[in-house]
Amino acid sequence: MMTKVKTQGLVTDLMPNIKLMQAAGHFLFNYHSDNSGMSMLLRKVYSSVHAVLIVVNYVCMAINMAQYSDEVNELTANTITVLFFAHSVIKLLFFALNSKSFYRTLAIWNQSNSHPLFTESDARYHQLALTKMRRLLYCICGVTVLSVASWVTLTFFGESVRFIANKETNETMTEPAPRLPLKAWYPFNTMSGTMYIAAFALQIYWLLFSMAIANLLDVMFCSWLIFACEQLQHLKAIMKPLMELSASLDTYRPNTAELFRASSTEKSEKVPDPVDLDIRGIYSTQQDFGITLRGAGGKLQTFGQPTPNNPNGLTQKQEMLARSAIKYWVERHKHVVRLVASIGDTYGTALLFHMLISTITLTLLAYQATKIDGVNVYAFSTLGYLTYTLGQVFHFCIFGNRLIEESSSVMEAAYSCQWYDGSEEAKTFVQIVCQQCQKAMSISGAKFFTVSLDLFASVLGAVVTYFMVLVQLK
Amino acid sequence: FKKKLVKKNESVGTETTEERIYSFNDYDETFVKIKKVLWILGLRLTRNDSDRVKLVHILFFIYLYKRQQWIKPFCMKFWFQVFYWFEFANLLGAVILEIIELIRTVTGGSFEDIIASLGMIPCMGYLISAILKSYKICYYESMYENLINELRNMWPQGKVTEDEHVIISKALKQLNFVTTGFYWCNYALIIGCMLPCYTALIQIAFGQDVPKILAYLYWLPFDPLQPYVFEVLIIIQTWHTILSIMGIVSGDLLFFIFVSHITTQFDLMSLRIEKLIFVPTDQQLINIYPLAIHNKHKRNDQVASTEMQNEEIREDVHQKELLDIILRHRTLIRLCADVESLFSFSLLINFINSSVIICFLSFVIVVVEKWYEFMYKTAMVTILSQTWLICWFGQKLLDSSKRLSQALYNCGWYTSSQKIKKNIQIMLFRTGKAVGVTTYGFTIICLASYTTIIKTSWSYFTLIYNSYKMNQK
Repeated sequence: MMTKVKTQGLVTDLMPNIKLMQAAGHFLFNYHSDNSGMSMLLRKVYSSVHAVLIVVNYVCMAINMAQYSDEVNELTANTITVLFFAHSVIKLLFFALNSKSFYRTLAIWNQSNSHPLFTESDARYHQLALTKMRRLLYCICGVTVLSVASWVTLTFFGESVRFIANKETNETMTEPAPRLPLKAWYPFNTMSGTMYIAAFALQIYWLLFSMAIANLLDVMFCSWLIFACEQLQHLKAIMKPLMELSASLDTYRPNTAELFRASSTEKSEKVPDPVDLDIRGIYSTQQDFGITLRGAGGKLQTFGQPTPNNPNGLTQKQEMLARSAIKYWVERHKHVVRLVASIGDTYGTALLFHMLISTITLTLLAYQATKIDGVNVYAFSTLGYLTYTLGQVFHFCIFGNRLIEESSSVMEAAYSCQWYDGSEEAKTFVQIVCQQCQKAMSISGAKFFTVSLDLFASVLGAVVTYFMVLVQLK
Repeated sequence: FKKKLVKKNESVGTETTEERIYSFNDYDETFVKIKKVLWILGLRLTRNDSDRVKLVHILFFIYLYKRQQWIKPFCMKFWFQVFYWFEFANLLGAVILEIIELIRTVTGGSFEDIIASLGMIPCMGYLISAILKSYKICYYESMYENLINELRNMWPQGKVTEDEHVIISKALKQLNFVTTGFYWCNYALIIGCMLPCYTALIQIAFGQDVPKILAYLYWLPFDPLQPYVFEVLIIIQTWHTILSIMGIVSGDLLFFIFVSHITTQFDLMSLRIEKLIFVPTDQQLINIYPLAIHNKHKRNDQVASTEMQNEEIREDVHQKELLDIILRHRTLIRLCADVESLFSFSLLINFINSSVIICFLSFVIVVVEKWYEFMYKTAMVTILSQTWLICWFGQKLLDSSKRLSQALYNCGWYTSSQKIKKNIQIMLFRTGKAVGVTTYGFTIICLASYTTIIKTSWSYFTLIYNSYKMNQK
């Protein structure tokens, strides 16, 4: 009964990601095959239940933080945890409020233009993008599961206590706390018994789902960037054949037939013998004999007679293919620019929030890191938080950086092809493209910062500086 | 009354597209509030006085005539000038008095007095800003008039297309919202400033024993708390408040209006460029792409199809249209340069003021003012939003001029002739550099500079607060 939903473009490529997001409880209600009222209602109920559970547990953690805010160390540790999981709540809310924007970005690549000579290159880079996106998804899923597993494992080591300040003597004491992965206030007693097991199970579920929610959205953003980068690679790759095609219009070039080989599926064409290339070069235009012009009407086929306007004796169809190559290139480039703009509009604010919270978290973590005094649970948990937070920032910075590099290297590709042999049309094309591609396409966090490795370096530098200063102050 | 009649006629004729017809009325309406403000200040923006003003002029002339005084007919301009210089002298006097008072308290008074008088620094900043802004309007009157007229000539007349309508209506709505909001918020600020004094006066009139408060601390050679002197002084101080705040409102509103109109023109030009060249749809340009959608209306046009076939005619048509666009682009750049020369210095002073004032206001709010008093809190909100509005409009201008280069790339240049391509290329060069307004060359006005101002104020505030705390100990 469940027919496969007909999807196209980015949605097909990102289907595993979308399915996982739907399973994790994001408010993603499109792209299902069965859109009846009952199943929609069920899905909405499913997402709402997840949302409620996540928010309620988060609020319990916040209450716990407020309860034990007297002692500095306890407060710092709880604040870090609360901020750490703020990402999940914010991303869940952000997606729910902004889902139209996400659907619009996913639908941008539903239809794209094509050119007979470049379909193979297009397909190849599309496949590359798909492979990379899948690999990224598996990698991040693996990391999430590993983090949850190590968190739960770490719970069983060390003493499960919490710090409180003794009001009279003003020193810190320890008091026993339930051995749970997260410190939270529950209305029932979780020290032992069935309630303890229930709370433990709830927390394992909560850890897994909240981390998945945050990470899957980031993976979607990075997958979009991977797709855009591979499209830019495709454009760079076809620059060279495009130049040669354009050159063949008004300059005599040997082996022009090879350029049109990609379109030979409809015609029977013999590949020139590589040994006789030099001699055959003069006669290579004879290959064009094999191409019949459909609907040529009464036009006399010139049979490859080189004329001043047509030194390679191209047929009308080939000439049209050559001329439309530039059109294909420019329209495809504009499509990629639109995609990147849409990605920036959709995800920019989420990145801004992420960076704000991460900055505060990392500052506190730097402070916590100064108190590491040996290889114990505290050290592992602090280092774990640190690596995970830095890893999240690194994740989108590296893909943002790749986009910047790819888009500015288009100019390099344009320059490194044989533009000097090309027609005037080709040269003007290279001029305009070089100029336009000098400004790199980048994703900005709501115009406050640009997502690149510079951002990551500045964040890392700030953390190290705080750490050094605090260590000195001790 | 006449306008309403005209509107009625239009609505009878064209019901559905009534909203898409624009005329000079829409343009002139944006200037209504600013003219009111400037009238209070004694400045005229254009030489065409409103009917009411002309009436006053005629009455005054009749009065002179009746008195048999054949005084050379002083035109309205002269009286306005006199009025303006009187107000200018007022403001200058207020600044000087406040500076003297401040110097006196800083050198002589106790620490508490200094803290109380720190509240005067925002006022002084306001006064200096107001003087500068209104002076510019007075001195460069012809330039302002030229700006208004040139932008008026560019305003679209008659029916516009759907996308143009979207752009124009959105810009007009935003501008109206900002102008009205700004205008009324500043009136609220005037009331907020003067309220404590008047409440005290009313309370004294009812017999309560409340100390008389003056809004601003002026240095006066006589005792300000004497019975009649006090009332007169309150009225003078109210007048000064109105003048200074109206001065700032006038300068800022003019800036917003000019920048908004220039931004609208840039956006309309982007649209025009994208529709310039007709490109047929095929496998390479599928019909969901924006270029195909833009050219949809041209496909049915008979002229367009004949144009397509003859290369020379096509090139001529494109060349003419492109020339028009280039000339208008140059005009807009020149108008931006005009706006820059008119506003950059006062905006620099405004920005410096803002950082200083925000810092002092936050100090005063935290230390001096009680939580139920709203004078300084209102002033803080006003100055934060005023600075934000300036930066936001500056950012809009930058963005719209950057969109031009995108529009040039998006038009179908690859199907045009070499000549057109070269023209477009040179335009691409120019539009690569965004057109904006700077603060006298220091920084370009955009949202990023807003964050710089806030950060600077914050660091000044923490410094002063910490030194105050240390002093307390």
